[in-house]
Amino acid sequence: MKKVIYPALAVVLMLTSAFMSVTNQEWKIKDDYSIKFTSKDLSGIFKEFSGEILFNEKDLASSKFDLEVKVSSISTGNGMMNKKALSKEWFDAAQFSAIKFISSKIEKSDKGYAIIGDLTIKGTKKYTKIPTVYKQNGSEASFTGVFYVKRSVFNLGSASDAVPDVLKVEFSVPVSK
Amino acid sequence: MFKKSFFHSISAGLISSIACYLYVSILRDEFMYDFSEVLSISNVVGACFFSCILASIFHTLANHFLPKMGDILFHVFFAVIVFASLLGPMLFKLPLDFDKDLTLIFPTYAMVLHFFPALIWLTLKPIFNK
Repeated sequence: MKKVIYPALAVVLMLTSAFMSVTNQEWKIKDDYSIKFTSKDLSGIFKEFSGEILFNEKDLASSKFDLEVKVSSISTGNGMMNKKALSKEWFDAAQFSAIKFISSKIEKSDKGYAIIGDLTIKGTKKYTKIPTVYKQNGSEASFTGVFYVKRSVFNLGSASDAVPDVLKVEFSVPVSK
Repeated sequence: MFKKSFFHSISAGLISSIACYLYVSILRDEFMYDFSEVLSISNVVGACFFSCILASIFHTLANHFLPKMGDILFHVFFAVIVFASLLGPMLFKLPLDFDKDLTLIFPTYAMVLHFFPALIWLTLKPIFNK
């Protein structure tokens, strides 16, 4: 009987350990997020942002970001500019209602993490690396960072000297468990 | 001449301030168009007095240096300046977290205000420049 107990115990332990992988943490996006874009000429914010964040520092392989920004929530502080931003020339909100980002890989970097994935704006998908600083405090955490978007790549607006081609995007996304 | 011009500008500034105050109050209380965060009543009153005084100064100078054509030229110049000033509200940038519907209404709302001092200054002109 003793001969059977230990091998059986080992098998049970082995089987249960297979289900004991690090579970990924799902984070809920809090309301006080900010998605801001700035340039020499144009600046503004997006007021509506949603998505799913699965993130665990110990399990980057199965961490995932699936985020969406509602284009119609753009605010530049000027009514005419808001309307123009939604027009065909710019975001074409009637056809492409959201800006999407779906991560495919998360890497550790010097200052935090690099979230790598597909950024889709106006139907154009581009492989993008978003440097992010992650800070956790108990059951709350935040993702902050800055990256740059070349509007000509996404066919946003026409080439002009008035609006620079490169827009700086700053984000701060507080989350909770 | 200068005395009349001075009282013209002060009277026009005062009356246009009252008119602007009524306009702002009615739109705020009846239609909930509240822009007090970006356009305080003191700013509006200040702008009314400033524009009326400026108009009187230019009018006096125009008449002084060009006695025959000064008045006509001033009126043309005045109209051009008033219309050009409408670009201000059109290009004005409100705070980014400002209500979206109000952001759309703002240019029209503020453009109307731009006409108050000019209209009242012109209305009072015959009284002070007989």
